[in-house]
Amino acid sequence: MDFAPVIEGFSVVLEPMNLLFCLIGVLVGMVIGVLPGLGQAATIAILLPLTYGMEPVAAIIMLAGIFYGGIYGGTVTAVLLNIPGETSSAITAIEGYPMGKKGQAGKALGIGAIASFLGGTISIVALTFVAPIVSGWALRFGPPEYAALALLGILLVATISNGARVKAFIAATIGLLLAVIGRDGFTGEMRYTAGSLELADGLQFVPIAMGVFGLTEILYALERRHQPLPPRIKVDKVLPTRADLKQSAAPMIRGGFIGFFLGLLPGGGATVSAMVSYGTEKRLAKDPSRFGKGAIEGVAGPETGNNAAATSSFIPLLTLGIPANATMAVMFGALMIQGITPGPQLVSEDPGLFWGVINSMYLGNIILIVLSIPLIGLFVKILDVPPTILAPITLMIVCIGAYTINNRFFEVLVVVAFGVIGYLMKKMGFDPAPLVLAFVLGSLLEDSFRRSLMMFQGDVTQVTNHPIAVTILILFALVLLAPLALKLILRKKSPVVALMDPSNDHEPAEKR
Amino acid sequence: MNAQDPALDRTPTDDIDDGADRETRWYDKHTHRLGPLLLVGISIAFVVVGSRLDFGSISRPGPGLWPIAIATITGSMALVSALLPHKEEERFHLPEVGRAVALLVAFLLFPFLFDYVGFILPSVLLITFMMKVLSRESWLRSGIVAIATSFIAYVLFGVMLSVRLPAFTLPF
Repeated sequence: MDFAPVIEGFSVVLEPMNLLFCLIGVLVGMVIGVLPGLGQAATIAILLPLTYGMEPVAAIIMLAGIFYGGIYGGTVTAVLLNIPGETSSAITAIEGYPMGKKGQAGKALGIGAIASFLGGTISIVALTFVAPIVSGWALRFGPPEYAALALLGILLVATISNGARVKAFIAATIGLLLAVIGRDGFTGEMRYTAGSLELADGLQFVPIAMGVFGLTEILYALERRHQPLPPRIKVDKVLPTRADLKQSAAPMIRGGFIGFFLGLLPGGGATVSAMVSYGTEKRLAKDPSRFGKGAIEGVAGPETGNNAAATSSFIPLLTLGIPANATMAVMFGALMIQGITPGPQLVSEDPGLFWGVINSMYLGNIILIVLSIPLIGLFVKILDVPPTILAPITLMIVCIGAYTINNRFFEVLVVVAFGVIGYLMKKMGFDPAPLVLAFVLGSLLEDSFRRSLMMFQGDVTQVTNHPIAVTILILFALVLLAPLALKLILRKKSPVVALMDPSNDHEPAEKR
Repeated sequence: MNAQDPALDRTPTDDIDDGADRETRWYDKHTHRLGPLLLVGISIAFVVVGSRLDFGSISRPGPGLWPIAIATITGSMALVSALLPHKEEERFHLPEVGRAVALLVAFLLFPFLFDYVGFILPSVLLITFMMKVLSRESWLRSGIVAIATSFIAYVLFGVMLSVRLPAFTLPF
């Protein structure tokens, strides 16, 4: 492996402005992560307009900082209020909140911070070595491989989403339909534009993400604002003891590796990693009955897992151009705004950006641990800011962002339309995340599908000459059929399956 | 989130139309089918419009093949979903939906006014409306937050980030 570009990446991130944006990103991420209501995808979508005038490297470094800073921020509300600020912290609430009730909130938050740092670091080190290999491998991908990969990504995101599976698949196909609108890439013919010039280049991703994630959350929060919050827990001594660290060491290492590998998978990510890590720790525990009552391993493992996954989910985005989850889909949009097409060529064509972003995560993780423990008191105070103040500010930023995409009213209409669509979807039990991801992957999927058919001259059996595509399609079939097989085979619930069961008793107070 | 906020003392059902909650009406059993059935309709529309596009052949797919295939899959799954038993829907409560509609109208008016009176005045009005009318905050708090936020946003976006936002424009 040639380390020169890696070292060059450090010089990029150590530029004062990039360092500053890394710090701002992590801080903003932590603060917004603390506030229940906006997930990482929503936060990044809402703040995208801030990056319009920025240098691409600085913009992506800041957004990446928001991403992993937000994951730690979510831990604070999970422990103190039993409300995960981020979905990925829902698992942390299972043990973190009971720990808080036992007077160990500081310990839970401290171990969460250390676990987040360790998870991120394990993943970045692995990412540094794995990303160039995946990138080189992906250069050999053709249309059949890309079509299969995009299909698998959409399927996995739909499979792990909240709500009924058939509804998640429907949401994904709606995303694919929306991606069709505009000029056909092959023939130049207009499709579903109703003669509108604004739609000739298709729907833009940013207003869709702002509407579905940002505006939807504000509308949804309007209804929930009167719900009483569970009693707040006071923060005690922050630093965990040496015995706590010893008890958490093995779960953190396991969580780091679980998170790294699950984050690589399309559809995988922070939430699934936290679930699997929790299930593993519960299974390996000498006394599993402690779980659910404040077991520190149940915070250490999942917190390492979700941060490791958050970091490694950058690999499929930067090396294959395939966003692994909804947040990465928004990052994909951010890269496109900056005129950067993520994919296997990125590492060779723009090594400064590629390694700058990856290396910024080393620094971002250090900033995260340095800031998180002393700022816990501040985060607790942020929880006192009423949502009645936050909602209008968020709404105004969304509106400025939408208007300034092209300095015209059309994008604001798109945000409103998708805000309403997202709101109705949530009310009717459809998770909007698969819609957004499928929209992002829609043109790649259609393009690759049509090119593959032309390559095969209509004979689809020729796909067997592409072993990578066949392997991915077999995986696709397995993922599609696995839930059925699991139902038949698993009579007894494993801890992981039990966690995914909506009827589970351990469900935290609120999940997004 | 503020424990002292009197608005929080009210339960989530305080604002809800009592009649809607009193009993389960016959149509309550079927409202969950509306969304999927609407999607069936949209899918059919996609197929109909798509049928005017060139379908091509399997070895040379035209622009109509993909959308028609996806719309057919969407419509079929939506039909299945409409027939499945009701599980996760939340009810729509008229007062809350009314607030959401009011917010959307304000949201649409906000940028529309940019070109006539600049950014700051519509921004102050939007935030005051949301805080005072929709969230029942005090006039003082609403006013302070609205003015402060609008000026900070203008400095951040309009000055520091060079976004094209006119501060004030005379409407004549």
